[in-house]
Amino acid sequence: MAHSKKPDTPHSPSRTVYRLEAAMLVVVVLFAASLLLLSLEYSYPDDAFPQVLSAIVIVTGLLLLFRDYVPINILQGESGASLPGEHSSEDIDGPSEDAPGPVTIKAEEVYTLLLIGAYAVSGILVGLFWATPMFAFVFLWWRGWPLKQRIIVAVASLIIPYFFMRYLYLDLMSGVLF
Amino acid sequence: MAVVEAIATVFSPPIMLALLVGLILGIVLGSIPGIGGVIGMAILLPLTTELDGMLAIVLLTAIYLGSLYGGAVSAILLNIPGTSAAVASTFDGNPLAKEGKAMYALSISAISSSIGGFLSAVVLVLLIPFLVPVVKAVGTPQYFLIAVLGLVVLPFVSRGSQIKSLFAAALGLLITTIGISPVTSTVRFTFGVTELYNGIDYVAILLGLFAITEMINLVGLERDNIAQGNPGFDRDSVVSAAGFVLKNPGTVIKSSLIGLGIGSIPGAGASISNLVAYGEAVRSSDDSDSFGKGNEVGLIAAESSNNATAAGSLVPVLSFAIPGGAASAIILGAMILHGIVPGPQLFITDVTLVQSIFIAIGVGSLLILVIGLAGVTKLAKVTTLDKDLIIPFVVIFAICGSYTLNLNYVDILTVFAAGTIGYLFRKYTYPVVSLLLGTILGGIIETNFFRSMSLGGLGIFITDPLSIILLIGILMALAGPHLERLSSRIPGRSG
Repeated sequence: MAHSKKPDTPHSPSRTVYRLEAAMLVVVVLFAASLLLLSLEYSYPDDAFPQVLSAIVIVTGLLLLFRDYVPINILQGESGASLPGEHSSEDIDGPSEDAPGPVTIKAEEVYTLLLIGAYAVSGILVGLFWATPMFAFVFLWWRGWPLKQRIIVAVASLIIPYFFMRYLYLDLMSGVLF
Repeated sequence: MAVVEAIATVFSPPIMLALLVGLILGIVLGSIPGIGGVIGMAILLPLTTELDGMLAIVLLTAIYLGSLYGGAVSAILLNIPGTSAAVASTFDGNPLAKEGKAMYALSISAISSSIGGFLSAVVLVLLIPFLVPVVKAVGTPQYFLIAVLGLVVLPFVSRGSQIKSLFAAALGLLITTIGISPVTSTVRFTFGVTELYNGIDYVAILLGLFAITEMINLVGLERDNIAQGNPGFDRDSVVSAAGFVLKNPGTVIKSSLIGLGIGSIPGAGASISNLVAYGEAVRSSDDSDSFGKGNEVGLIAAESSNNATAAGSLVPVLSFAIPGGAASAIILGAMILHGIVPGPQLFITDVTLVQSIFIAIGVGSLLILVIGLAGVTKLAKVTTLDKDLIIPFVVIFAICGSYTLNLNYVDILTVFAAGTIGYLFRKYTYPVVSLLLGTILGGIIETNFFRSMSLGGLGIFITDPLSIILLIGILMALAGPHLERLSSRIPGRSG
C-alpha cells in the first residue's frame, strides 16, 4: 500500500538517547522493597518466599545499579547472546550503526510504547471496541499515512474486537466510564 | 493400544485442519523478520479457549513448527533470519541464493526441516515407554529441584550474564507471590483488588513480553518492508535438492539428534541448536573452508536441527511443566487454559495425549515439505508487508486477547506493563525468558518446596540419588561460568 512518510532528517528528533536502565532498576528495587515490608504482616510460610525473593531482587538490583563501584566485574559472562524465543527485530537487524557506545532508545519506540499505553487505558475507560480504531488511526497518522488509508485501516481494525465480541461473547463496547 | 489411538486422533479431520492452518500461519509469520511464530502463538493463545484442548495444542505447535522453517525463507533470500533459529541458515543459504540457486536452497531447507522434525518425533514416540519410569521417579523434592535447575541453567546455556538472569528470574518469581498463596490460600499483596486474587496471569505477561515488545522494536527498524527477488518454482532444483539431502543422511540424523537433545534441556532451544549443529557439521567436514560460501551441508545441518528442537522442547513441558523457551511456554499456557495438567502425572493418566502431540509433530513435519515447496514462491511476497500495517494489528490482537483471559482490566494493564519491562530488558540485555520462566515456575517452586519441607525438612533434598544429581546440576550451572573464567586464567590454557 503506497503512502507518504514524514522525512527523517539528520537533525530530526527521531533519535534520542536516554539512560533508563538505572530508572528501571530503581523502580524494580522499590517494588521489591515494598513487597518485603508488606510481607512482614504475614506469618510463616506465607512470608518466606516473598521475603527471600525480594531480598534477591534488591541485592542483585543494587549490584547492577552500582556496578561501576563494585570491585569485581559482575557482568562477566555476558556475550549479548539471545535466549530461545528472544530474538528481537533489533537483534536480527544488527546493531545500529549510528548508535555507538551507550544504548540508544529511539523516539519512535517510546512514542509507540506511550501510544500502546494510551490505547490500553482508553480501552479500559471507554471499551476496546471504540478505542481500537482510534489507536490504529492515530498510529498511522503519526507514521505519515494519508487520511484515506488511515480511515480504511481504522475501520478494518474493528474486525478484531468485533470477532472477540461475536465469537467469544466479550463485552468490549463499554468501559469503566461508560 | 495407545499409539494406535494416538495415530487415529491425529489423522482426524479437525486435527489435520489445525495442523495445516497452523503450519501455513507459522511459515508466513516465521518468514517475516521481526515477527516470528512466537508472536503468532502468543496472540492466538487467548483465542484457543473455545477450541478443544488437543486442537489448541496442535494448532500452536504447528505454528511453532512452521515458523522454524519460515525463518529460513528470509534467511536464504535476504540474509536476514526470520527467527533466531534460522541464524545459521544465513551462513550458507544466502550465498547459494546469490549464486542464483534460491529455489535449490529453499528446497534443501524444506526437505531438511521436514526430515529433522519427523525423525525427532519418531524417536520420542519410541522413547516414551522409557521416559515414563524416569518421570514417575520424580517426586515433590525432585520437582522442586528440576524447576530451580530450569531457572539457573539459562545463563549457563546462553552465555548470558548470571546476575542479570538471577535478577530477572527472582523478579518473575516475586510477581507470582501476588494473589492467593498456593501453600496456605492466604491472600497476599492484592491491596483489596479482587481481580488480583488469582494473581498476575502469566499469559498476559507473555503477550506483553513478546507481542508488545517486538512491535516496539519493529517500529524502530530502519526499513519499512523487506523486498527482494521472488524465486520462481523450478522442479529440477527441488529434485536435485532432494538428491543432495538424501546423499547426506549422516548430517541429517546427527543434526536432528542435536536439535532433539538441546531442545529437551530446560532453557535451551532452536536458537542454540541450529548453531551447535552447524558448528558440528563444520568440525566434522573434510572441507570446512567451504562453509559460509554456499556449502549445502551447512544448510542441511541448521535446518534439520532447528525443526527437531520443536519436539525436544516439549519433553520438559509435558514431563515437568517446565518450558524450554517462549514457544513451549505458550504451549504450556494452552495446556493450563484447557485444564490439561502437564507434569509427571500426564504420562501416567493420559499417555495417549503425549503420543498424539509427538505424532502430530511428525505428520506436520512431513506437511512442511508440501506446503513449504508449494508456497515458497508466495512467501517472498510476504516479506514485503509494511511494518506499519503489522504493528497496530498485532497490538490490537494482544490487548483484546488479554481481556479474554479473566475478563478484567488488570490483564490489559499487565500486557502494557510487561511490554514496557520487556522492551527495557531487551535494550539493556536482561534475559526476558528468565523473567517469563520465573512467572511460570513460581507456584511450582513454592508449592513443592514447602511440601518437601513438611515431608522431611531440608534433608529430603539430599537423600535421593536423583535429588543429588539435580543438586549437582544446579551447582554446576551456578558455578560453571566462574570455573570457566578461572580455568582460562591458568597459564597455557587458551580462552
